[in-house]
Amino acid sequence: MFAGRNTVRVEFLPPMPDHNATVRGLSRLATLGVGCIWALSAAYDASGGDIASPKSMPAIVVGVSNVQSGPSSDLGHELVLGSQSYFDLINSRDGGIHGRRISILLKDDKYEPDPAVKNTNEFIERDEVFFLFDYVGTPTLTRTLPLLRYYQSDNIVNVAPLTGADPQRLPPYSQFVFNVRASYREETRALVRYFYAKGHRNIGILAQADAYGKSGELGVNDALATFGLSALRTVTYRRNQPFEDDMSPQVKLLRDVGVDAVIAVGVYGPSAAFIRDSRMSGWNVPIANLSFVDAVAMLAKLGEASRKLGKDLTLNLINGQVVPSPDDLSYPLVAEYRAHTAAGDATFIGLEGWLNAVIVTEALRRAGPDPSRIGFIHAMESLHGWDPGIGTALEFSPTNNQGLHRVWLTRTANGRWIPEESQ
Amino acid sequence: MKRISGKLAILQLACALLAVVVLYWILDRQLSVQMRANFAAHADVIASALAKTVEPALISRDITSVQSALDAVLSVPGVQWAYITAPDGNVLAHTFVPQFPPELKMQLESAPEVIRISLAGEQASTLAVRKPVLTGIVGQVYIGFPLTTLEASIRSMEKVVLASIVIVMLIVTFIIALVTESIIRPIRHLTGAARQLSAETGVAFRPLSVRSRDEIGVLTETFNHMAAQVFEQHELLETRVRERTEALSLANAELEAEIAEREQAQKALQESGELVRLLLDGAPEAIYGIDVGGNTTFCNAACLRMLGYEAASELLGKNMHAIAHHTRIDGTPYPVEECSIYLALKTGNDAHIDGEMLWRKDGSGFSVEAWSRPIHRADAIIGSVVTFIDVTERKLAEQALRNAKAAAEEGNRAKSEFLANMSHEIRTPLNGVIGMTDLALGTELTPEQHEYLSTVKLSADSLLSVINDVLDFSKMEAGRSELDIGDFDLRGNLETTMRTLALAADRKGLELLCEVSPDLPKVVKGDPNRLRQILINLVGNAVKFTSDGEVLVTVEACGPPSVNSLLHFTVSDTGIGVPADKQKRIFDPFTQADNTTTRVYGGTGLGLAISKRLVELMGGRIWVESRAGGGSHFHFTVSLPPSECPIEPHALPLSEIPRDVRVLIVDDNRTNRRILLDHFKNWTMRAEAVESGELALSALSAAQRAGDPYRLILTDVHMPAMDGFDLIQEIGRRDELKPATIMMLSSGGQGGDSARCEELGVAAFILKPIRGAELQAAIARALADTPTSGGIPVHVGPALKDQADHTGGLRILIAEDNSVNQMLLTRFLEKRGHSVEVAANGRLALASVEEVSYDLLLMDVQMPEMDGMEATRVLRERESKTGTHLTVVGVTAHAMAGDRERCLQAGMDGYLSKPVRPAELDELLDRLMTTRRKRLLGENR
Repeated sequence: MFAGRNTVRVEFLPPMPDHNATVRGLSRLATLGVGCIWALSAAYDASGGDIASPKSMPAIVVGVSNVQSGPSSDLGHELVLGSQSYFDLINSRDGGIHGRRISILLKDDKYEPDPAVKNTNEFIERDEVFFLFDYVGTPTLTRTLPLLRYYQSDNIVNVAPLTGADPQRLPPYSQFVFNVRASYREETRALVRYFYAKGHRNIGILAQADAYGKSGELGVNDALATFGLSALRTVTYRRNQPFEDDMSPQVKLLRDVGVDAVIAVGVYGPSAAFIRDSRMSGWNVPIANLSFVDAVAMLAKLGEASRKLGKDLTLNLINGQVVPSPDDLSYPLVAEYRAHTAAGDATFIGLEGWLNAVIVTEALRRAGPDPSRIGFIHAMESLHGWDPGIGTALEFSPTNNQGLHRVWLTRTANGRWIPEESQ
Repeated sequence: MKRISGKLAILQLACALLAVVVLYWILDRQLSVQMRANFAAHADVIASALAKTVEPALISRDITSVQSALDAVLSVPGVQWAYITAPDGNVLAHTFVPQFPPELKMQLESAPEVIRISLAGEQASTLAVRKPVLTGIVGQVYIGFPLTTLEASIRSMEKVVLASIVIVMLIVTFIIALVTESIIRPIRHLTGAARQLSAETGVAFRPLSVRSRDEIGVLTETFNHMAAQVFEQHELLETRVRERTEALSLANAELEAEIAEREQAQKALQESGELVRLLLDGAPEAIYGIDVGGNTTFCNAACLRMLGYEAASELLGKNMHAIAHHTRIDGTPYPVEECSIYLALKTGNDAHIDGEMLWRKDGSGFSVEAWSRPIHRADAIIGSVVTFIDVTERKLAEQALRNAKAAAEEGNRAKSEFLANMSHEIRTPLNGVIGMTDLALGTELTPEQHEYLSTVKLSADSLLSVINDVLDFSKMEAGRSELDIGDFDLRGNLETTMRTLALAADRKGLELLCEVSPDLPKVVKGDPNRLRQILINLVGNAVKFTSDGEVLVTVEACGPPSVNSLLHFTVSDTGIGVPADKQKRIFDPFTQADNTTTRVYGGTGLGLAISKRLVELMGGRIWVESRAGGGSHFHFTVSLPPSECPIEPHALPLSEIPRDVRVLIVDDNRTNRRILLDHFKNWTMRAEAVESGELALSALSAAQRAGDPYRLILTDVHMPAMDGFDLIQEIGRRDELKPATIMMLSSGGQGGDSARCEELGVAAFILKPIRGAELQAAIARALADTPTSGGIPVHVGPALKDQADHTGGLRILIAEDNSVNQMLLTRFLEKRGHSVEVAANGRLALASVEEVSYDLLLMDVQMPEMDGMEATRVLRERESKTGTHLTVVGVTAHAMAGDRERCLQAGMDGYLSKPVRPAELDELLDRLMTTRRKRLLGENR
């Protein structure tokens, strides 16, 4: 397909009916990777004043560092695909914003803190991206926050990271981040309330052994405290543990103390493994996950495992979400997303990526032609009261860096996610 | 017979074993101790860093960021787990999977106030470090470091070190064995041949093949030649014996016939005469008689046979001396009056003659052993009976034996010579090791690599000096050491030698002083390098065995030069001394005063043996006066006759220093004052010395008033009360003092002294120890009107330590065997104004405590001879009688739980872990200072 001089068109493979989501995601990643290298050279060409192009306005380059390889890579793939789809739409339909195309410069941090810090530093120091965007994960993001403080005078901000943790929502780092999605506290509060209403009192926690897991664990315990309860036991697993690894020790530890509902603060691979080992050991308590888990990817793993093991592992699962279901076309945002996304590619995470792109695009529009970084920040703060098309208005303001607070609960039915009434 | 090759092999093995053990011990100890210490320090640093990192997050109760920090620390190599507890003990965040082990918390909590804990059970091989965050107000950080990797790397390091040492030693041993065998083989052949020859087997002699043209080749050839002659002689002899036997039997037959003829007529006479005759002729020895005139009265058959005569008539009545004893073995005439056989006639006593020649009828001679017995009749000597035997064969055998002995001795010398020659072969690769290590040290290295390579260099240097000693000694044994006699400047040589030793002395904080009697000749005849070697050995030993005090070298003449040219050197120290029963043996090779000192001080024990041989070569002797613990005085004399040649290449012409200049010396050290005064006397300057700044000021004013001011002031920097700088400033303030040229002596150490001198307009800044020539040059330059900037170029030299001022700081005794740690602690404490003494083990520390009262004893727990625990127990026992109490703080490298308990149990007041951190030590010192101040105040009231 055509790749423009100043921006990048990402080539999507036509949907293949026989392929499952993971494989498609990987193929697309390959294409996207090529696009990213292009984006980099394009950004340089633009800044060097390339005259061969009819439109010589430089692209607005945003820096995206997230997980593009390893056991959690679907998260990164889906998120970037969602955002890139919307930017593509804006770039091709409107010729960008105020004549400038929006281009993603993507780097892989493998869901590990050190590469994330290195990538972020390169974005700021070398690539001079306009802002940081679509980061994924608590351990990675929390480690990059001090960098933003370090480069405070450059007014570089991180917009819409895919994490609900607290550090970027609290001082001293809140001023450097615009959080679109609801926080883990809000998600865990919703889940705890849900379980409490269903009569569960013995809540167990599965937490990733890092800042993400800790953040979720704190959220669950805080929410339980409002009912005078606390988690019976918290078990952990190592980050980036593959789906194949055994999780029965964790299952046994929770089961032994009489847990009757589990809130998992994990990523789809290990969470799916935990669900698999619970169900295979005959333990069928409800298991809830946070939005970060990538519910669609998790269900795909479980579906596959169910076929292999001959047992339906997808029963009695709850999932918190910070965006509406991608199937709920009553929301204008979802409708537009689906109009530009193949049916098999629509995911919660993809929709979040799209939503993120819609919000920053609106801010760029408001910032006017040739925006400065500080101008962009002011534009973001001006989005207070603006509804991106999900029936809820953003709450950004000069004193509030949290855009949305809403949590949607979903549960499994017939191997799919369907909306569940929030309590 | 003990084989030379066997002895050599034993010597080789012993050397190789010694080298392997020494090298392995040094390397293994150094490296593993360092690795452990590094590990512990590493752990401590990580824990401290983590505690610092999480502090803000803990303060703001941002547990997610705390977890994030834990997450980050987990990626540090060597960290197994980490967790953080709230002040109430609850675990806030951790890195365990699948859950936090509750027993861990219990274990760590049950070890209060201890910084490092080793856990039992599952975590047995884990080093757990706890750090309070914000002094524990907001929480505690715990980090676990698995010790397995450390142990594994130490083990693999040990394997590599041992393997490489053993391989090198095997190669060297193999090469030595090959070379030895090639030298020994011909000697062995020679020995075998000589033995065969002397055994007279009669088997034809086969010449030995000559393989080489060296000494052994020549020896073999000579031996062949000699053996061939011996064999020839032997053959000849056999033939003659056969002939004589035939002749004898013929004669016998004739005699029998004659006897038969006369049988009837002479029956009675026959019976006695026959008996005598039979006795005589039956005797294997030759027997003849002479009268007082020396004429033959009878002779037996053996006599005729040996002398080569047919019938007795040829001899009877003739002068036997003239016939058979006329010439000496060397061919000169043998006058009858000197004849030893006739001597018996004159003296009347029996005479025994051995090794003289008798001459046969045919003119040939043979060696005999003879006995002459005078015959007395009625108180008069009427003649003598002479008995002799042919000892030619015996003499030949004796000669062969002598030759064999010489060959064996030659072989022994060859052994020693070989060893001496090996010197080069061993040193070459070792120099390669040292050289390449030096080069590697010059490249960019990680601190760890640098440390390891430095250790390799240190160890290689030690090995080199061991090998040098061994080879030097064997060279002397081989008689290969010769003196290289030449004219040299005695003082210059001594000063250069002291300079090389000064660094080592300085490092131990010792004073190294050298005093040369002024009446000694300037230029002497002798071997300067060998003299230096002796001094380096003795002074090096003195420094090694002295932990504080001074090492003094004095040189004086044994008598006026007209009487003898012996110079008497004395090396005195204030060290551990030599027990009386060991004093004789310490000059023997491979001996040290106490076997255990080998462990403490190292060394081959060859130094003194070498020195002894050198001193003897130089016509003197060496001895020691000492008592254990009371220092030693090593004396030696060497013959160094004054040289006729008056050259003195390094000295400045004396004319450059104005004569009769008045000089004031200000120095609180008596020995220094004496040395300086001697120097100035030699340079015909008028010098006076005072011991303090105050006295100097009054001396200056007095001189000013007397109208004879000092033109030159030489002041020490470090003096109690008023130091050198104060003095100079004071002089500058007093207008009445006419400004003199001021020179400053410094023991160095203090940075910025040189700069301050320049500021104060000091003409020259000289580092101690003072070299005569340097001082002379500096004075010449300073007194000349040429402006000098910043003084004379300074030299790094040893500090002649001044008595420290005790009023401000604490008196601290450090009991520590490791010299590096001694130095570190000493520097650290002295910087803070404390006065420090060092004892190398618990026993010495106890001895010091008996003599001096200290404020603090820093006690290393692990020391040779007597460790810190035992020393503390003994000290406390003693104190229980006297009612005193010395603060003892244990210092240990053990990162073990319960160390603190053991220290306290032993009676220590506190406990520091290695590496000692400045902050901890400071805190301890502050506490002690405060209590001391309080006590002093209490006493004053």
